[in-house]
Amino acid sequence: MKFPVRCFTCGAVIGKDWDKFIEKVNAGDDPEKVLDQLGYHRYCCRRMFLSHVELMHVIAPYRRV
Amino acid sequence: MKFEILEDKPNYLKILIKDTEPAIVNALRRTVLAEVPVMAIDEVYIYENSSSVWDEYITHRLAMIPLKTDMKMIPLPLTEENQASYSVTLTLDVEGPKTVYSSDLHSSDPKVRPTSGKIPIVDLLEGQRLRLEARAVPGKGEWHAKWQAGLASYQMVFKVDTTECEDKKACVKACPRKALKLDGNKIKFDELKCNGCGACKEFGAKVEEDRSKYIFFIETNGQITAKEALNAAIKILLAKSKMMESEIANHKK
Ligand code: SF4
Ligand SMILES: [Zn+2]
Repeated sequence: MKFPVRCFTCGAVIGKDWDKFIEKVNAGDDPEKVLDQLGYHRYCCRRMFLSHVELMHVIAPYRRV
Repeated sequence: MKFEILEDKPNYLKILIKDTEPAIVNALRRTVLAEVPVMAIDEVYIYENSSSVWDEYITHRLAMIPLKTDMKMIPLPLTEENQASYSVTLTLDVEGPKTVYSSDLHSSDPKVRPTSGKIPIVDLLEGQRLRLEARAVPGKGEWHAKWQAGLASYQMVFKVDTTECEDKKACVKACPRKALKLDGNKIKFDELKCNGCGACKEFGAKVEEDRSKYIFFIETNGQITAKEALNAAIKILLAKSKMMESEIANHKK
């Protein structure tokens, strides 16, 4: 669903940089370099960005029961 | 005990602690992780949620948002009884189609607000609405990770003796951390770069742990600065030691 607010492992606040990250990656930038620019040097936080699949727009039209 | 500041950024502090022992550095680390109080959302009243996700999903995301904290307002020592004596209300009312961001949270106290307004909370489509009221209270990392001020850790420092090295050039080359530097006929050693890997041992160097020095770092999540976190940790440790002292003094047989 939506990108997590915190890194699961270290608790760093990663949610604030998701929009910037995905915008640059969609524009064709190398994710490795974008993460370096954003200042994420631990691999726990880096995998959060690299492995995320945004599914919010898929479930958004459905209602809760 | 002596402190030497190596790196000083608002949310990051790296210091070299000299003339100390691991127990004290570890006490400091554990205090930063578990005892330094910060604000976080603890109770949410949901008036309307017609989005596609559960209330619990939204409240969990709200709780994880770090809130700027004014240390002076927090009662110390913080307990579960006096925790609610200081609270801040945040309200949110957003109608779709729109993505709800942390900047949509309006705080009753301008000092306590999300550290970043760009944290996405949930996506709303046409006709969906999210209206809620949240109460933020101070707490400790010991109770829940949302109240953890940040990360703290320490790293060992090593003593490397290269006087018995025969092939000095090869020894310098073998160091993967570039902690060794050739200076004429001697080798200069940078203790801050060495991680004790022992690659230089093959060339005759002696690597030994230095148990009196530690590199200590604090990285906060933005609620308070790293310096504030260190100050608070020291104060809390002192207060605990004093409490113990007076308990012993007042003990009657
Ligand atoms: S122990 Fe490893 S890092 Fe330290 S000086 Fe030797 S080779 Fe370099
Ligand atoms: Zn992480």
